[in-house]
Amino acid sequence: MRRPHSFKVIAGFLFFACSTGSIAQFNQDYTPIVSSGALPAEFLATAKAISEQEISELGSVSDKSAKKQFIISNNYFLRDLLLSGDVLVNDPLSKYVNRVADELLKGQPALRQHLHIYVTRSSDVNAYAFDKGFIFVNAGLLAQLENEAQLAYILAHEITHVVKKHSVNQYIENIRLERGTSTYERGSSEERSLARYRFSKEQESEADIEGLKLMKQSSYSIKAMSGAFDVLQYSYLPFELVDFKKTFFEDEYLTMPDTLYLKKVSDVKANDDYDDTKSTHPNIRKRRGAIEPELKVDDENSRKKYLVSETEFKNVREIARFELCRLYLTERDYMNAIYASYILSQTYPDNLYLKKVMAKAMYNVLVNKPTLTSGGSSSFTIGGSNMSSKQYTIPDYNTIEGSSQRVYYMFEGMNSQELNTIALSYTFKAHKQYPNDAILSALTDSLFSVLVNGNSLFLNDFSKKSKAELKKLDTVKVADTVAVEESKYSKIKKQQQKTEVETDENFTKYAFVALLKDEEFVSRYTKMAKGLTQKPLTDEYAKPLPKSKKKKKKKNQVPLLGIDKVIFLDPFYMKVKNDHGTEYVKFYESEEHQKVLADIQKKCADKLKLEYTTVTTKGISESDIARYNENAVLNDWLGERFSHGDNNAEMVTSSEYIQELIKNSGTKYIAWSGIYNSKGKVHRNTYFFILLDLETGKLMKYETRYSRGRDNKDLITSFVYNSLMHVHKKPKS
Amino acid sequence: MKHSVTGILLLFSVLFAGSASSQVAGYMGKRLMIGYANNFFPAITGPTASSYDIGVNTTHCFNLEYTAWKKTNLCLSYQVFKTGLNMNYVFTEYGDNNGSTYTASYRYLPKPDVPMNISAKNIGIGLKFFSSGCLAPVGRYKKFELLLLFSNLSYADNSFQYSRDYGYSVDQPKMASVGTGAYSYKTFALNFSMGRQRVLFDRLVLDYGMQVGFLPAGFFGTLNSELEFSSANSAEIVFRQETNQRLFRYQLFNLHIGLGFLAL
Repeated sequence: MRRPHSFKVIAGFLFFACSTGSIAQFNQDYTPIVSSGALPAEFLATAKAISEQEISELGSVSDKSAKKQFIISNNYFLRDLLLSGDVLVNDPLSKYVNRVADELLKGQPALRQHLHIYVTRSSDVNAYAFDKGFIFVNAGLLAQLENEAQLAYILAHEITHVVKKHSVNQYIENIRLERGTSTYERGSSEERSLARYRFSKEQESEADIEGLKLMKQSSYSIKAMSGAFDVLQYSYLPFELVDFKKTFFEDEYLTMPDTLYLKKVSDVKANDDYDDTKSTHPNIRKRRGAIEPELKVDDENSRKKYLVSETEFKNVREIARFELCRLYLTERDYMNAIYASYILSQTYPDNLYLKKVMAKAMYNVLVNKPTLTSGGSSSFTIGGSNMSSKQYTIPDYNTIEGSSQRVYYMFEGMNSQELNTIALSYTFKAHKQYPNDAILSALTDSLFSVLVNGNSLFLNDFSKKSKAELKKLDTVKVADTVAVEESKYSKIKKQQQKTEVETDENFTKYAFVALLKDEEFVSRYTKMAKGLTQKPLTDEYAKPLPKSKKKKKKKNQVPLLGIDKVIFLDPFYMKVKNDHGTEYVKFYESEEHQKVLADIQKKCADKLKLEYTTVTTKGISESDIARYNENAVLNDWLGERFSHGDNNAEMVTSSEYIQELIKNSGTKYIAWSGIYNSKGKVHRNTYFFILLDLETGKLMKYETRYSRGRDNKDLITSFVYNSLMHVHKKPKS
Repeated sequence: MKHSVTGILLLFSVLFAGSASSQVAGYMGKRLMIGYANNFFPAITGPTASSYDIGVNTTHCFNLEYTAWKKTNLCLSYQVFKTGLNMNYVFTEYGDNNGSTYTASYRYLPKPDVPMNISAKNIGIGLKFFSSGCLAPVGRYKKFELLLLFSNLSYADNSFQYSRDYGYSVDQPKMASVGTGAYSYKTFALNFSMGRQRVLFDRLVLDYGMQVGFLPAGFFGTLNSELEFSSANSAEIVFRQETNQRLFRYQLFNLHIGLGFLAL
């Protein structure tokens, strides 16, 4: 009796869930995807070993030298990509994409076996292939697709590049064009340069046509796949166009003025016939036009949009969209992060992950806005070296099309105090909903810190009473005090308040009416104002310490950090040969010297008794998936942190995901060093050393050295030892 | 010499103490280098200590270097060398021998026929500045050095062949003694070196380069008017001038190569 009833409830729920477009697994939170299982064999061999083997198999072929060079550089780039952590292994996205490839190549098992298809963590709406059979599909592309057939066509296009060996052909043709020996074009330098683009466009057109042929051999709907060009044409737009409303940030008392809301957004332009002379791909109109005559098939009705699964496609796309929020943050595209998070929040309003994306993005926009105390300048010197400041600025909203334009307009229009108030209000509410989340709690304190130390806004700057209450109070007061003589100042204040109450002016003053009733809010605010709060996410807005008159810093004195343990990353080493301005990377030597530098680093640390642990993908084995993931999160974190330059105030949004690494390593400091050696008429070396605090993102040390002469081991040792000495040596108390 | 050495050591210790607490890494924490270097160059401007034929001037340098600042080494060196002096002096005397004027010449012709000997023991104090981009003690450098030269000239008694030339006849040459046979001189030189220093096996220091030296007394002495050479006193002056000129030429240009080790 109960079973049919339960079934109805479940069916009803599923119907509701499907009809609203939400997927239950995302309702509460989202955990970023990571790689799992065993690492495939192609991740394990060194680039040198693979290159040597492939070169030995070349035999006697034309353009052997160019092909050798191609093999070496291709393998090194591929190896770099595979071990960067951006490539996902055995994750739901890659598994799904591979299943689509299985369907596409059902009739060609040998070709299918030759292919290695992975999804990469990148927001770019793109897919690309290496001749060796590697195809990479970006998460940004998956987030934009409309159906499985479109994905299949994109795979078919990339498979054609592999089959036709487009990369190597283009490489050889480029060399010929450069030397003027190409049969393709032997004209002037400009003509040869344009010929490069023309050659590439021809390959793309071939991939479009041949890809379509491959599609026709499968059971995928040709009609459904034709929208793939729309995906490419509008790839610069967010994955959905949802009307952005300012009410998202408002509450009963906090009302943002209409001036912050763009009334009319720019229409999305439909220019598909742009100038593609200097583009590697033909424009979309040409691409559409080229395949259009081929689109007709007799069996379209028997073909399907989805061969693997529609549900799985939607699930995968939703994961990709969630991933995209995080990628936008790490790529410092805060406006898109806010908008993507906003779009998904419409479906998943309680999702903790989305709330954190929103809060982090707002915080980082805030710290890049000039505050009362900063005056907009953020340039400073660290460790005697200047690192160029990389201030984030919101792109001009006039350049944006579609509804996301409102996001740009609103955040551009808000000053630091306004944004601080909105961000704090949003983040604190999120914190109240998820009180155990450490990031939201820390972000709250950081926002309090900016409010107090940056914007000089204290509790008494905010009204405890709403505008409605004040209006009422004002009427009563005026009636009661008719006979009492008022002071000039009281009259001015009353007038100001009246204007504020009746208009949108100074809306932030009333932003915390509800929150000021919250004990925790008041208590944390008070603590911050009194300087009692410890450890906000970044420490740039902490109260400045009083300057000591006694201790004068010696000129060029590098600060000693007194750090006992660091994490060493695989060092960077690049040896290039500079031949009349053209640089050729010496891949083999670079790889060998990278090992030498790593050994020097360890030797110097041992000598200094500086403890260390290493995060490396060198010698990674099949079962080292944890190491692979560790390296991935660290690379993510570093990529994001480096994009901030010397901007210590900006939060590294991916810090959340490296807490375990910090715990396991027993230190929060990461050191990365590298050498760039260029051999022209003379040898020139550039050495760098970077030390970062993984918890706060603070750049602790940044050192560069330029020298002439060979990159001898003793020279490098003296550099590394000097850097590590400053890291380890304790400052005099 | 005692006072000079004491002064140099005092200066060195003051500089050493002043730099001891600075943030200098040295090479893997080692900042003191002890080494031997050899300055050498073919003796084309004078004889060597043992022969008039072409040989090689060579100076043995015992060096003590301390990395005092990031790009600077304090250098103290003790140098020894021996070289030869060719004495063939011709001058005009208005002699009292029947009122005739004659030209006299002294030639140093000892048996066996070896040049007059100059042996020098020098003390040098200098600063080695490493090129930008390098950290002492590794890399290319430029060194400025003040060298105090304590030299001894020695020659055999009764080994000067003295003869008079009257124009119309020449006296039979006879052997004579000139001066005391040994003199000590002090002078100074300014040296500038350019080179490269490398550390091998984290311990050995290889140093190579070239050096240009300037010995003011030798250079300006050449410009002096001709000296009288008729008494023991004037012999000393003449020998001083000749010695300084020889030292000037000896110091003028040298190549050097050295090997040392990082001590502390």
